[in-house]
Amino acid sequence: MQTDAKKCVRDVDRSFYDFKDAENASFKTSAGLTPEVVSQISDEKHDPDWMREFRQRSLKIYESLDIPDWGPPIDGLNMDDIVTYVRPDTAMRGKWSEVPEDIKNTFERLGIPEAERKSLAGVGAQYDSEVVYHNVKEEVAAQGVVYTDMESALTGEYREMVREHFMKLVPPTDHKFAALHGAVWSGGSFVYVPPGVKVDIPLQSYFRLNAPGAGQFEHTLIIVDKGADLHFIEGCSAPKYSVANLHAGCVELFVGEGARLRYSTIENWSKNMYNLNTKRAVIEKDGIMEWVSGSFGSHTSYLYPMTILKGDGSRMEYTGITFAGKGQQLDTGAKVAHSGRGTSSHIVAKSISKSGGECVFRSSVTVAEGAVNTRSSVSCDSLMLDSDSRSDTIPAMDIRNASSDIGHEARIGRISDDAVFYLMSRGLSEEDSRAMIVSGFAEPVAKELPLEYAVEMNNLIKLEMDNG
Amino acid sequence: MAGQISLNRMPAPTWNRLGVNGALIDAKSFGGAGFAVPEEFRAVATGMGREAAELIAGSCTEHRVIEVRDGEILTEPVIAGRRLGDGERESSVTLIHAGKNSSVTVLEFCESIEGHTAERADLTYVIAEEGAKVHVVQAEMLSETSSYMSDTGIIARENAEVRLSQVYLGGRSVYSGCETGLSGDRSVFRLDTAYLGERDRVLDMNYVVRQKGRDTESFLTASGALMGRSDKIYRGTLDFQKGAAGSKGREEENVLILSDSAKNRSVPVILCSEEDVDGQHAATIGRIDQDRLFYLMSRALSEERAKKLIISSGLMPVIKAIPDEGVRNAAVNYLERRLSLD
Repeated sequence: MQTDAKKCVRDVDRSFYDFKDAENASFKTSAGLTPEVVSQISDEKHDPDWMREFRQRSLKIYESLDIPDWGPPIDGLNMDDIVTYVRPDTAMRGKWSEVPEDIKNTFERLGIPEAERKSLAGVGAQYDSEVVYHNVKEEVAAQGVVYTDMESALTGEYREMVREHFMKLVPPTDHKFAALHGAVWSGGSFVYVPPGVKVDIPLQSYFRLNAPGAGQFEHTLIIVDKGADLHFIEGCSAPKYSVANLHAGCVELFVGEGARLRYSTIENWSKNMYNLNTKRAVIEKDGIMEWVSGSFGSHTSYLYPMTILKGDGSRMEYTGITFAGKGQQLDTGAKVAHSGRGTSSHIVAKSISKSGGECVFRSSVTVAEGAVNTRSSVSCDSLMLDSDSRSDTIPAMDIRNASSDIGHEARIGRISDDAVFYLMSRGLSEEDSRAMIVSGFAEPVAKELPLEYAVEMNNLIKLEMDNG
Repeated sequence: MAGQISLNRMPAPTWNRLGVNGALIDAKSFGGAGFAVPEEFRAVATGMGREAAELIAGSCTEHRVIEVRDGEILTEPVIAGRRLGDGERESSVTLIHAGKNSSVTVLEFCESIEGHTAERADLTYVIAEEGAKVHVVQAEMLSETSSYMSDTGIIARENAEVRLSQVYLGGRSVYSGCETGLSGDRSVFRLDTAYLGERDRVLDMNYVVRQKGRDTESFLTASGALMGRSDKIYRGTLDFQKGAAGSKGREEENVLILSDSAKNRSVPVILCSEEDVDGQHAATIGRIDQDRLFYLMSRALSEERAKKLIISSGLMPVIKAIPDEGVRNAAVNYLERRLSLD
């Protein structure tokens, strides 16, 4: 009797990211969240007065808000156990050779210095709560592009610009974890691209959380001025611990008239991470926002990049893929608010669930009364690889004018037997056929990434077929 | 019983600020003697939820039990409904038990004349046994100051087919919900909803299909037009549960928005914990297809007439499902009258 060949798609292989450094912090707050802890962070970071007040006000808002009641459970996250600030034992450096050996080795293993040499215009590297390395290529800086850590920006030449924009798009009142971010944020990057400047190769920030039981709360603020063009890449990872870690970063993006910003993320947090991140962009007239998002890691994610199409003729595209394996609940998607005239949005989302993993695609498309001639399309495909897993799609549309064209479509299903049969009839084995179908499923996202990142993503969605 | 009740809760909620997770309304007793719904039916979940079902049943002014014996084919529809007078408030509980391989069509309708204010609520339970075929048609033609609630719960056993056709044309507020449990293998549910929103009309709908048996099928379609300051929410959830291997679900919504003051909210949800299923949903929301409009106008129709034709063409397939000629004609006339108002 012939036994059926067992086919499986392997879980995301995280072993590459799962190395730990010995804890070597020069300072860390005690666990939990109190006005004193927030004050300590302000002291450590030499906050200007307005930021000290802002943090304390955010803490009060945090205490007044409830935990979201609509998403996956976050019962395993106890803020009393989370250390909100961990300063590594080094100052920020502009040369890798000056970064302490253990931290440098971490980023070497993650391939960041090599990527910087080969294909990036600038790199920021954050280790726990602080940026340890920041550098931008001379020719890019010569164009007037500012790429620095948030702390330097807060007190440096661009301090007024930072103050004008900081948490204006994502106010602390937005939700509980935005308020938490406002209270304890640390690290992150500030980017300013002057009018008309086109940055040909991407900038990248990489966030590494090494300390167990800690939180990372980096703030990314990017302003792309009129007619400018930028591709920004964000990467993140952490080793796995048995205690919960928390990531509650915040990304605020301002895209000026006729400007274009592409924001790419490969998120690969460890499976003890609660990833409650907030990303938001506002787009002026004829501006373009492009999101490319790959979500592979974390225990629980709430991640929905939001775009406000404020200017007439502004546009957004979101292309995202989520892969949830054993023990993961990844609630991801996108939000778009159309308020300008003649705006358009295009959302394409893919998800793969296996080995008990749970994917939720959640979206909202809102069209305001005055947003005449809006066009929007949302497409969501979900692939279930076994019946231990779960896949939900929860899209919402709120349309308030008579000149809109709004389309939505979603599909949930398994790998099609017909497609496997077709490929097998062309000479492929069943295993290869299935591998090709899953690769093809992820391909619309992979093709939007720079080559090196597409390779990383394909490695993450590693396929293995074997006989059981 | 009076006070605020929670209804039309989505099985999987989303961001609260969108205001779609459910509705809270002020409700008061219908003043009737009420009806103790037998446990067999009371165990069936309804779309509007427990609070609404208890309100309607607890104070209903009438109830009927439609028992169709095994193998019995009722060729004539069972019709329940009437024109309500000014100030009338009534609620009705209907229990439909369709025996094995039986067939029945039930029409529930209500109407009231303009200038009269009435209130009507229907609570309908359907248990379709193996191989039974049940078609429930609901037609609401109330005046623009009246209100309507329709709460339905359905269980379909093996090979049973249940169809629900709903037409909502007039009342100031309409709250409607249906939950269907496709518990039997190869059971089928088909829902067709057609609605017209105009002036300050509120339409709040919640439909849930729990696909539990193997090879079950569900088809949900909704078609409507929004004018004036009308405000509509459509929630449709296909829930493929573990064990529903080989099942299919389709959900489709088409909404025409004809006023910048109208508000449309749609939440087509798929929940899935079974690998071997095929679930799809699609929604098209917005303006009238300009090519269709141009085509009709090139045939000498005025723009207004062409628009009305397109609106009514979206609703007519469901109106045509009304099994009684008199009620069907009343619905057609009512629609034409309504369309000429705006």
